[in-house]
Amino acid sequence: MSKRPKAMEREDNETEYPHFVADEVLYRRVPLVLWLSKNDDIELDAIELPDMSVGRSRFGHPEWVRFDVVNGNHFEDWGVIGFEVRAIHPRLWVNGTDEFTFRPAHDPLDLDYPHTEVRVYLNGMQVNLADAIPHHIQLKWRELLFREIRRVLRPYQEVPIRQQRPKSHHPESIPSG
Amino acid sequence: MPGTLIPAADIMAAMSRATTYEGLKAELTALVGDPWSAKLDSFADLAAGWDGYKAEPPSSVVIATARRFLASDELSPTRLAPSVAVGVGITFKRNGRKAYLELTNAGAISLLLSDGVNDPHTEPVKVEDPTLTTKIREFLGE
Repeated sequence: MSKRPKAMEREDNETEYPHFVADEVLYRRVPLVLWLSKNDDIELDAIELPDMSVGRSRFGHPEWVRFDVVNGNHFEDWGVIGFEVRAIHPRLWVNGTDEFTFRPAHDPLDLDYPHTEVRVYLNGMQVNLADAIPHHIQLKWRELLFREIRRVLRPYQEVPIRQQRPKSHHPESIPSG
Repeated sequence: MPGTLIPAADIMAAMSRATTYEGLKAELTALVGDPWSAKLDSFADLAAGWDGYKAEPPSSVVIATARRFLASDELSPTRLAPSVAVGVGITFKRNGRKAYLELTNAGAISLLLSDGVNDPHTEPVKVEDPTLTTKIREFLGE
């Protein structure tokens, strides 16, 4: 198993950085069971509801999200998808009265500073989407996000694991493996 | 049984017994088994957190319901997969259009119809509803 880059870790006194720009990219690992073949694309079944864990391009590279720091795993063969912040459908109205808003929130972990969550808020208060919105309406939100998602790393794609944080939020080209 | 070679003689015998196309399909299905059934069965082996985050595997109830739906009609899915939203997703794609049926462990079953451009249509459904597959077929242009 490859070693997790030290640069993923939160540095002393490093707090969250709450600002996101529209073209910052959010990355998420996708298990092999959801890729039917090496070159296949994923489907809606791979798209999570908020709260959805992702890694942000301002502080991390796509191959870094193959590390599961919570359980100490490295899913080195898994694919990675990405979407820009602007692709998050920002608002859903339910029953004409409840306004649900969606946005990313930087949620750094000690071993994973880029960790971010896409969260949902009801009238400004954070809520659990699964409990708050009927399933068929959740599906609509997921489909709108799915349309904007792109494959960043194919399953089994070997890439060198970069050891330094990105220089900006603009994704850098993937080094050849 | 998956992974088992079927003797050519058995296939020839099945073909000779069949007198219609439907009969031939039934004979061959009896030989090779339901292609989706083994895949559904495999979902039960997923561990909690199988998606690398927090997803639970599809429940036995969801798997059984998906199996019942797939057996109820010859509408063939293009994809059958566990869903990270905790359940099973069944995708049908034809002519640039997509119908996606999702069954969740929490008991929700919803249908999404999408042409990839316009606002998608979604609704709660019941798999026992005989109009469900008709609705999917019509949307896909079958």
